[in-house]
Amino acid sequence: MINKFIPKTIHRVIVKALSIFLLFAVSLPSMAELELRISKTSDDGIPIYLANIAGGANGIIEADLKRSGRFTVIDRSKINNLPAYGAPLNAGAYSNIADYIVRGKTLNGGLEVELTSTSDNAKTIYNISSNSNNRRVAHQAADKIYEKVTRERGAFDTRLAYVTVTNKTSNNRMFRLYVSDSDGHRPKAILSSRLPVMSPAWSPDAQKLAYVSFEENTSAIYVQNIFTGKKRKISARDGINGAPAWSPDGNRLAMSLSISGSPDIYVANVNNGELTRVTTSSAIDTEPSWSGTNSIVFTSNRGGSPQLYRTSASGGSAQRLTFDGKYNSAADIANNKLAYVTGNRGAFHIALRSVNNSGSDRLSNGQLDESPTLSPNGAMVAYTTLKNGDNTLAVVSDNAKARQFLTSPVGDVREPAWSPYLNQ
Amino acid sequence: MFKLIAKHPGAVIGAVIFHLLIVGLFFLSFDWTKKPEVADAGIPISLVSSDSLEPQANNVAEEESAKPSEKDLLKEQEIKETLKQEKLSQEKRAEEKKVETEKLAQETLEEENKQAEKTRKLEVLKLAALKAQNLKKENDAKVLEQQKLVKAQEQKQLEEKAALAEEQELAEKKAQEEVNEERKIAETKKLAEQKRTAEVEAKKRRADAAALAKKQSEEKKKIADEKANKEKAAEKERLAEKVAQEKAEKEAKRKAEEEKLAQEKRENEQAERLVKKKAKEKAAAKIAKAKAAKEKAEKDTAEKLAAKKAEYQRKWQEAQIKKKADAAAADAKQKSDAVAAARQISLEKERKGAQISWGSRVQKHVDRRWHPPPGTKGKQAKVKITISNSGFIANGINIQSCTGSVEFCSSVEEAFERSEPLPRPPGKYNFSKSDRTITFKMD
Repeated sequence: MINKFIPKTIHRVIVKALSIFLLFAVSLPSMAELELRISKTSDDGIPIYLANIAGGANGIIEADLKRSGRFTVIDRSKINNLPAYGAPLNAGAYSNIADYIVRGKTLNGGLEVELTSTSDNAKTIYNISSNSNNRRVAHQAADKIYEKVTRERGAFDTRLAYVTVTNKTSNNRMFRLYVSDSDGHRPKAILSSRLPVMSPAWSPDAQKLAYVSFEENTSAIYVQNIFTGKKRKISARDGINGAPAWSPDGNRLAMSLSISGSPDIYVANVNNGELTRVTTSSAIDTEPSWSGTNSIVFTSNRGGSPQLYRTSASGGSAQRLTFDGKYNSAADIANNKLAYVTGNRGAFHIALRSVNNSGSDRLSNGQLDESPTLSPNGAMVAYTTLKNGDNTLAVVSDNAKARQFLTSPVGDVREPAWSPYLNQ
Repeated sequence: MFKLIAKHPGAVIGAVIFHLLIVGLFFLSFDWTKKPEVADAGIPISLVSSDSLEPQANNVAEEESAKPSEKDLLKEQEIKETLKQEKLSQEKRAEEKKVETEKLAQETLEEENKQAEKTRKLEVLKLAALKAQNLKKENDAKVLEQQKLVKAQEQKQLEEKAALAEEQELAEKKAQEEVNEERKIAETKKLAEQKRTAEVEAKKRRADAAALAKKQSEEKKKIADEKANKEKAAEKERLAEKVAQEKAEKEAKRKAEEEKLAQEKRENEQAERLVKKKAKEKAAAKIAKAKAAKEKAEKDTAEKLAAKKAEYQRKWQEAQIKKKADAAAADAKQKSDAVAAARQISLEKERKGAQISWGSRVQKHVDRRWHPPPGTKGKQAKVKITISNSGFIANGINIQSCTGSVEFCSSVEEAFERSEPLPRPPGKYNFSKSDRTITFKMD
């Protein structure tokens, strides 16, 4: 119709102009840069596929990686006929499924694990030597993978120490101090007592545990080698001897003592027993935690409610760290992160914050979550939570994306402590 | 006729001159010598007619009766012989003169004939030349009307030819008549001469007879007469024979002349015909040539025209084809442009889709590797990076803004550091640098 009224030449020119305009119109957006949003609330982890490894190491590694909250383990059914370890692998073919593919095999009691990136087909092979604890081999492999992918040190090959109470309502109640792998497996009781045992704390070398024991009917702080069982009393002063915390150098123990009546924070030299008072308030100052070598964060009700404060290890004025809610206590510091219990309207949750910043994130969602302890890399928090009437161990990732309940011996599990990196 | 005469005045003048020459020759051919008296001649002359032959015989009888004597006879014989010798010499002279005159006349005639023939030939040649010239002119002037003109010319030529032929015929006729006249005159003259001779002889005989009658006896006179008669007869016969021979010779000569003339005429005619034929042939050839040239020219023109037409047609067709091809090409280009534009749109959509898809993968990739410090809710950062085709960050991590703590901002940077290598841009689309530049809003 238009062609009847418009000369063909003009029509062509118009069509050409329109074509060019459309071309430019379409081309222009392509010249615009992409703008994307990345939210902290994302639940996605790094997709990783783990092939079967003889001996089931892959299961341990999967659980470790899942627990970190950094990974999304791809269901094994998603990839069929993956070439066995040793055979050529075109990992790029699986880039839409996973970022990494893990294959491996047992080797001389240990493991040989191959991590392949599907984006660039880059392969990394790790050889994990054998260990009397086979699970540790898998944890070590998991640490390697974790570190390779996240560029953070893995903390799967670590230990947990915790106290269980059995028959807690009867006269036969028993307190046991357990040491287990970080996933709760292979728990080993290093101390059993009918009297309360509490507040275990790992020495920086991860070979000793300081704990409070009422085995002499009064509270006393002991240090025990977990391998030899040899223990030494550090403090058994009048009043409360509680909440020991190893300084990072392993030479000092911070503790809460009520020498002057109200519990205050003291630092005791492990080697010579020299005691240094850190806090002097009339309020309850307890649950010290080393923040670096010269700073101690502790719980105090000096403000009217339990709050977290920070003070110098040599003493001095304390700085309040928490202001949210009426209850903030039980700080544990690792990798500049501070995990603590925050209570709000009768509920107690695990929260995480930066030592130097005020903001915090709630990690747990239980009603009575207690005793948070950070993995040495600060990526996970183990805590106790009430489950079926008993406290049980749980681990949550620092981003709260992953949460696992750990298997634990029978009884009420209390006060877990995450060991430092293991040297052996 | 008059037209032809008027057209060729030279021929008319020539013909008049020719006639005047003939008339002049005719008069010159007369013997203007004084007619001899009978006494002087010794031989009485009387005109012999058929009616007078008988009386003559009677006279012979009378003469026989008056036969002279022998002495007289001898004397008379001597006289006779002398007279005879004189007469013979006279005759011989006359004859010689006559022969000379005739010869002269003949030569004149021949000369005239030759002249006339030459003139005629010249005329003919002139005519032919003129005709040829005219023809040439006419041919040159009017090639296209050549045929008609040639026909007209041919008609004219025929008429001229006819006129010339008629003229020639008339001239020949006149010449023939003149010749005949001359011949007649010659014959008359001869007869007169013969008659005169006969009269002279009769007179002589009569004189002889009278002398014999007087001098000799009748017998002797008779013998002498007989002898004389015999001799006379012999002489007469001889003369007759001579005359006849001469006549025959003349006739033969004339015939030869005539034959020659006829031959010449034929030859002339032949030549003329040949000339005409040649001229005709030449003209025809010329016409044919002109015709051929014309036909050739026409053919050439027609061919040129046809070629020009064909060329024009070809060019027109080529122009049409080109026009159609151009139009088709333009349409095809338009369509192809439209298709290309649509394809480009589709490609751009696809490209854009691919870019978004790739961006989404990058987003997830970074998101999975970002571990912000706890308690940074509400903190934001804006980061701009350019990703190389191999998936690495090309020009550093550009944190454009960050509202969080140092730890938070560091975590953002660390997130990108630990994200390398990032998902590579799809090589299929050859993304530009800007296509590979992404701004992240992190909160």
